[in-house]
Amino acid sequence: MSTVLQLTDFSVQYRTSRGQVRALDSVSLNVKEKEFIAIVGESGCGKTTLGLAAIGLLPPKTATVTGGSISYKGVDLAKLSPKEMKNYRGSEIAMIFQEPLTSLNPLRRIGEQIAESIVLRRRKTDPTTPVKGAPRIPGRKWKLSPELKKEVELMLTLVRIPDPDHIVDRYPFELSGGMRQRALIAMSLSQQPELLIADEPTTALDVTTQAQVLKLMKEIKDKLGTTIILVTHDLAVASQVADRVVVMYAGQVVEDAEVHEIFSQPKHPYTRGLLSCIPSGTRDGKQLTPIAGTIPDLTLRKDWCQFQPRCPYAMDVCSKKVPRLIEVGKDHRTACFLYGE
Amino acid sequence: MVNEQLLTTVELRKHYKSSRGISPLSRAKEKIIRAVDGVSLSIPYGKTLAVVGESGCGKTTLARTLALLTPPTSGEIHFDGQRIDGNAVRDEEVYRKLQMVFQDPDSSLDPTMRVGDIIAEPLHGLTKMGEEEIRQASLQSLRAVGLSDEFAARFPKQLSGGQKQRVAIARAISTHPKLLILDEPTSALDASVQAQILNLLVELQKKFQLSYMLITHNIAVAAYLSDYIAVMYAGNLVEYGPTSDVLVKPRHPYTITLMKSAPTPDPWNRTLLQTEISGEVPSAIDPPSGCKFNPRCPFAESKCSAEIPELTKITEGHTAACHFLNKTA
Repeated sequence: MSTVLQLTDFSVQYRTSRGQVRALDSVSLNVKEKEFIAIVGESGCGKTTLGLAAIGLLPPKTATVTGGSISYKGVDLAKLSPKEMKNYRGSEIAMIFQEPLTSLNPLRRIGEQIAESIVLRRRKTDPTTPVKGAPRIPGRKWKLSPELKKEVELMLTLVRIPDPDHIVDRYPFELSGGMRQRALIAMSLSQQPELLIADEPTTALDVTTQAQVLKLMKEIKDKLGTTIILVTHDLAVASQVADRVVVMYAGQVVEDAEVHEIFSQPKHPYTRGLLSCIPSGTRDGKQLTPIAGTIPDLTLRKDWCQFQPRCPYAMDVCSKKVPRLIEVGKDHRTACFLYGE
Repeated sequence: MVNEQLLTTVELRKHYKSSRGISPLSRAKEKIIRAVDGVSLSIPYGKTLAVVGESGCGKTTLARTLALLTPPTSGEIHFDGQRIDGNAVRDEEVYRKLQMVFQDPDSSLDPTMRVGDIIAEPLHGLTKMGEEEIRQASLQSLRAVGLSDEFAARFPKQLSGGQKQRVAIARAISTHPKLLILDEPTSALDASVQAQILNLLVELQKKFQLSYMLITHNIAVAAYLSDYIAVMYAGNLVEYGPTSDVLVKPRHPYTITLMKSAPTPDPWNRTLLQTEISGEVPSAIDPPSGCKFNPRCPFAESKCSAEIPELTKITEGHTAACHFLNKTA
């Protein structure tokens, strides 16, 4: 299978009032075609920055790419001009965010917003033929032509929204959280992207709704062959849907493995720690084993293993240099000196 | 039997009126939102009851009603041998024995107060202790939640999320209450911090013989912490019983779906992808007739939309409100 997204020693820093923050530090990652990968980590580990970098939405005033490359099918996205990036954003790489209400325009009907996406796609693939019934001025209110409306309804059916002909004319505030998230997925899918990045898409949703949305994403991957990167803080969610799990800590990838492999043989002490933190079943007198300490301050980072101060297995070498990702099994890599240098 | 229960509610109801809009000429009819619609449950001394359900099911309203933050529309609340709804008992007396911990410590801790003062505040208001006594008692609380004395001088913004929640817990236990109402105490926290707080709650319960009422949407947290589970759906209890029974053998179709939807870290058993549920929790203004779960239920028959099911006994202490419990056996 060919590689869709490849990060090589990719680093991003943010400028803050307290100094430079290394949000991503030499991240290397391969996302293959038709893969469903989950990027897991706690707040501040850089998982959202990774998603934003892939779609060219890093805040331009504060973020700088300080090294390495992030390439989509051989094109380094970090080197593209904002105008060139437009050719990729939406049509090749799409993203959905945590809070669907803030990603939808509150003043425009759902149908309009999805149709806009369809029109954009058409204009890109066939710039000479004007799209019938589409507005000339983007952002203006407009009425859907019957053909466009039909296409929108098709998209809504794809994401399993019940009675789509009714929903087309609704405003975002009239839909529930789960419906909004599905409408957003419909919107991003209508441009037929190769790669869909979902940043905590179900964190704001209830468990049964979360199950429905995750199930839908899995179906999309199987049916349309879309490559999916799911960014989540929840290892349990990752275990239920992903093919491969990448664990991040303090801006670095600490473990990267096939899903069954990582849950049966977690290697990195941080991954193991995260797994032992998840309560399962009744208590029966057993205690959870939390990870000692807290996540490090990324402005003060040193060139050593970032997890070392919290690690129960820390050795001398851990405070001397940064561990590299090494192979520890079939399709299984981890960055820890316990498994060699 | 009755004496073993620290808190008991009888047919507790809390209804809100929907607003008619700002225009005095508005013809819109006032509607009634049945947030909590006849809930009877009890919490034994030293035990934990978890109330689980999705947003809009009424679990937070239930907690707020029990904490007397809002008066019930009807029904009774008995707490530690007294009836506390209505005006018979002064709130101060209740609050010394009943405290609440909220979901988001950022909004429940006053940013302009030092940690020491935050923890001391209930002691000032609810007890007749002197200054020095209060200082000692609040430091004791602080130590009980695993923070050193130096934290007393800090402001909330100088603390991490986990430390803030510890302070909120320290404040709640400072008056040595009998019941803590925990409203989603860990859902704003990262996984590793959540585990620390859960361990702390278990430790405090043992040390101070606390009873907990835990409000959560996280089944794994509920299962870990609780002795009893009450599952709420659209203002009603649909299943109620000892945690081990409800967890191992859920009988209400909604509980079954909820358990399957709750992600477990197990890639070999992807229950989440097997869930067959559509739709969402109904609005509390116009709930479906009969059993409120019937439009989403895989077992629904005509009886379900006609008659409201009662809580039926399955085994000792384990009840569920469904007309067709035989289908899920």
